[in-house]
Amino acid sequence: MLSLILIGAALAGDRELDVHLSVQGSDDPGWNYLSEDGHLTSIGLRGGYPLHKHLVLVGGWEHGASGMEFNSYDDSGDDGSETSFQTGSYMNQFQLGLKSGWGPSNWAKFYGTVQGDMLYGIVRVDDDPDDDENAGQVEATGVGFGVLAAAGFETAVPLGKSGLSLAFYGELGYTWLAPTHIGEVATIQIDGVSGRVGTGLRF
Amino acid sequence: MLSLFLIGCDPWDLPDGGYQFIESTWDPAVVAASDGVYVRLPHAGQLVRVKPDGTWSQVDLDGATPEKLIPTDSGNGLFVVASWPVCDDDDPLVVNVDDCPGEKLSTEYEVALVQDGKRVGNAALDGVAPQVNAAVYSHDGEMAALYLDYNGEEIVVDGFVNLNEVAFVNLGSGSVNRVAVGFAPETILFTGDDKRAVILSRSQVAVVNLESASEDCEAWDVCVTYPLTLDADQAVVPNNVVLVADGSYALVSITSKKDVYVLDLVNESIDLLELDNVPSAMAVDEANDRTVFVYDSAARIDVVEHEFFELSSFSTDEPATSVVATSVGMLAYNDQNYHDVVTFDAATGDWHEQRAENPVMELLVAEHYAVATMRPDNYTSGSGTSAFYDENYGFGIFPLSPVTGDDPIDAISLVLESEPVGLALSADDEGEYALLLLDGVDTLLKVNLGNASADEISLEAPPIGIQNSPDGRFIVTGDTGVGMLSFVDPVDNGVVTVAGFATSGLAAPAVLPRREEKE
Repeated sequence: MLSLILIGAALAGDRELDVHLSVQGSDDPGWNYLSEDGHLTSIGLRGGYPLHKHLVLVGGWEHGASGMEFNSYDDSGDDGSETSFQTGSYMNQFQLGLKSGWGPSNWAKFYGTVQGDMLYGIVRVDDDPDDDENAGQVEATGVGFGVLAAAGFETAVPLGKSGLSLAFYGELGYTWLAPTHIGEVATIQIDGVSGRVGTGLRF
Repeated sequence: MLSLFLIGCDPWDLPDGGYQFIESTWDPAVVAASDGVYVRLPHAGQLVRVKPDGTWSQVDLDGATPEKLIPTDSGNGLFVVASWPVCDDDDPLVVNVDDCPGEKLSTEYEVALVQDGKRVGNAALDGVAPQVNAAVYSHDGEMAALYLDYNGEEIVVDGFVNLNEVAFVNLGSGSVNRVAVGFAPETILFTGDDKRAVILSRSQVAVVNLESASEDCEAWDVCVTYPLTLDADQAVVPNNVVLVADGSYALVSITSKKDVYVLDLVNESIDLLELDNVPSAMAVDEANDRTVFVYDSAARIDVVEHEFFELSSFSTDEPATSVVATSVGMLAYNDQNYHDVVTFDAATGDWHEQRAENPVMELLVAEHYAVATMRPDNYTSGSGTSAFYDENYGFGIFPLSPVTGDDPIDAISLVLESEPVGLALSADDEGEYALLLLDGVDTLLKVNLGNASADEISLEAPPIGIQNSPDGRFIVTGDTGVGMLSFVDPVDNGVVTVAGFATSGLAAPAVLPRREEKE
């Protein structure tokens, strides 16, 4: 009887407001020129609104930035001179989808989520980072679309009698975005395992 | 605005991160054509066309990577030697080059003619060997002769290389005619009427008919072959060839030989002209219908007239390594360790000399002046001003004056801040100018040759090269990793700089091209 009560409490949807850390992997070799370790690490915000006691509408934004410095041989002569430049890539993902949870109590539950994912990527290239007005500055932008699916576990701690609870969660899943052209500079794809850990409020 | 919000207040405060060493992002050996400047991007495997309006676009080579660019004389496009990877694995999951197992990966090559930003006929040229690296153009600019001018560079052999062949390409249609002309063609000349080509190869000279079939010769056939030796064991390597003004004779010098062959292209006969030394250079004086020879081993200029091919010799003060035609006569100079610049009248044998302060690096001839860049002279031990000049790079202005018995106008010698990396000439109604680039200096010097004064034209980055553009402007390449071209108008000193084109394809996987074709 106690178990049924706890399950019922857990299934009731809450409004959610979270911050999280996200890591998305990909085999796409294009990432090797934008990110040192070849994957995308982001911070994110996510909000949720209950549509049904089993279903929460979730939406979020994730932002990741990485930089690279490049050196290459100067082909102009035989003196072996080199040229260098720096890149900065800024990946912003906007997600919208559904989340459904189940658990044995109102402080712990498993959940699954499927979300549409839109990537807005910005890549900047600069051959003289000390000069903000030099001619060798290039900015390129691009938009790509995809989906992510994940399963996770969440635990929540009530904050007194306010009705608020503090939640902690971790999820693992897969993110796929179609190959995305960031202007003429980059063509990238996210296609791999992704994971998130975060914390937030339930109210 | 969205970018600022998503990045932060200083969008160019780029995040720190990793480090990579990559292949060259761009090759400053650009090709200026009438429709834009073509640039090879080795890292991205792309060819881009950069326009002076600041835009650039990728040229569709059907996935091939440009390996070599060969400009056309007229600026009507360029030839592109390209390679493309082939993966002998039909697995649909094999998409990128990195996906293909190494043992199944191979490379194929092709040559394309690119005009107006695309391949002529949307395909590669039929049957042109990808080893070609040199081109000679007919006087009307409509025909190109492509061949391999071997100079020690690495040659990729895909199956075999035909070292006997010259490919004639019509620049209008892209049609190709291949002609076997003898082993290792070295030099090609078109006759003045563009109806024939004279081709030097090892131990023989061939004349190819470039027009419709005639009574005595088929089109695209070797009409006459002039053997330079009758001994098959003896390799005679032609060094240089000139055509006399009416195209009736060709004079061929031979590497390390004192003899010069005189080929009668009308009567199809061959004669030998015996010189006392191995000529270092020869050039035709069209005004006087004579050929002039200079020698790096003798202080002498020889002249042969074109009727009976009789030789006349004239002593000078110093040997010369080069000779060029100017508006007032022939100009002989030495780019080794001698300093004389000699103006020579081939009709009378008279000459006068000017002095280059240091050894000549590069010499160009304008209408009223010759100009030369000069390197430090390490072999003299002067003092005072001379020593100062010897220690530095220099620039010489040589006013051209007829050899009339009067003393020549003295040359003007300027000391340069650093090594010259580019030299070009321009002219307008008010005078003639030299455009000079110096290593590590981000200005273009526009030197008025009349008074040796210079305007400094600011550039965005230290330049590394300059070349003429068919539209009359000059293209200056800048020393930057993201690619930089400056379009310089020599009339109003206006500069339009386009930068960043070498970022095209910077972070994009190398995709296996033409997979559908294979299936």
